[in-house]
Amino acid sequence: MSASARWSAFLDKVTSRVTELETEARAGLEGLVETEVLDPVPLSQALSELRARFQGLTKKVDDAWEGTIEPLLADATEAEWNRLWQQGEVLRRRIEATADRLEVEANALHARALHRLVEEEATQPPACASCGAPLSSRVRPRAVNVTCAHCKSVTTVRPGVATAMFFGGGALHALGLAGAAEAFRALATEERRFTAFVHPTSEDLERYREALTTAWTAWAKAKRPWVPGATEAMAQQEAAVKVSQAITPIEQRESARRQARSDALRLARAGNVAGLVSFLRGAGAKQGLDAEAMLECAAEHQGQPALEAALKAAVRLEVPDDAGAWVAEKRAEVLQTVRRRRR
Amino acid sequence: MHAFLSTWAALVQGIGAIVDDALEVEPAGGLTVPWRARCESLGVGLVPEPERFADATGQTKGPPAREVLLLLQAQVRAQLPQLLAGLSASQQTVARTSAETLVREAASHFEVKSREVVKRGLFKHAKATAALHRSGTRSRAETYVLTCAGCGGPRQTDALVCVFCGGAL
Repeated sequence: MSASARWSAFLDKVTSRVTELETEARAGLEGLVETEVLDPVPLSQALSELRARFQGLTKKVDDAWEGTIEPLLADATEAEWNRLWQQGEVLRRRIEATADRLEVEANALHARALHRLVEEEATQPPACASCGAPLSSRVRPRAVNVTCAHCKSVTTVRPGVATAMFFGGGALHALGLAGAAEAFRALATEERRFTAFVHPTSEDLERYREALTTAWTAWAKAKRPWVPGATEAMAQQEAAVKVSQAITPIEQRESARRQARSDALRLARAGNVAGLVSFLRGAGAKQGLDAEAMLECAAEHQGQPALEAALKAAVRLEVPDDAGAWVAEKRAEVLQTVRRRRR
Repeated sequence: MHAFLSTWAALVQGIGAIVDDALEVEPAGGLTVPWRARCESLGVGLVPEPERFADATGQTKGPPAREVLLLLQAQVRAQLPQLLAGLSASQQTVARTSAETLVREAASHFEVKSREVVKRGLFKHAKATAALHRSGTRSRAETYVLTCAGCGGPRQTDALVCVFCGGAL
């Protein structure tokens, strides 16, 4: 049996196990939430166990690749190696996405069950601790002071366990994530793309920021109906804070260098070799952007014209004896480096 | 006929219990106290170690299949005289064939079950914790009124001062 056939058969087996585990887990998690709502520990234990099971499957894929398949590919072409590696990567991503999806679904299910108890608590009017007269019944997310209409005592009303957990714990976040699941999947893809760059540009960061904004805005919008008195403006502000927390530390690092890469890439894409050479000697050099880094940046951004322009610029900057051979060798080397990094 | 039916029922039960006990043996090729006791009571010799582990290769649980078969046959042998008593020759033939079929079916059932992949149930610990209902199943808002340590009067204003005696609440 060839390495490819063995690998495919193995991946099919693991894939069916992932499907089985997902079905079993979904039913199990639903049963667990039906059994217990006020104690968050059982769900947390179940989710940890589930993570471990899925990680076990990922480990199986990794072990099979390293221990069995890769040694069989010693004489395989790079394209064949890449194709098989990619098959494994697709399954790894599927395992990760399944675990994430189940976790989001289970937490949202728990949050909804908790909210039913919140509504029950809100229908039971608390009594004044001084005279026993009933106080108004409503959802009180936090402890508040209520003046008794009968004896005028200031009664402190503490929310019930379900209400305190719903508004003070992770329930709202879970409902937001479940409502914005699609946007967060897109964000995860965008995050992988952005973090894979060794030479990111300002446009890459901008694209990542847009994905963050879309995801967190959808999150705030999805959780808003669950919060009494929440307004659109409050939701927008909450989303903006989340985006800022994620993006600001990245933004503050290497902003001038990212901009230099953007400018250089723009020149390369336009085929302006002379302009690129002059840029790399001046503003680019100040930001540590040399010919080698420029080549990698162009290759990472997968634009053939940009890479060719960068190669021409590199020839002028490095002045090799045999420019033709040097360019061919450099092109292959840079493309291979970038491809390998992506693994 | 009544005696035959009750003996046959006892035989079927005994065979079922042997298979159940066998499937409780873990790891494959291992030994449990009930299994050892069953073998000793029916005079069936245990497959010695480490041969019994080699014999159980491919199984996920249970003693070696040949040991189970010997025990099943011994169980039938032990109950056969009682089973055949009072039956005509032709009935005895049918009863013997039925007992052999029973042993064959039980042995084959064991072989299938002993090779099934052991699936550990998900969330066993979490389910046990959930069943405890440590936080109760219902809750409601709680209220309290600060009272003055000096005169015992209830808090009447937002200020933390007793309106009755002027003391701090």
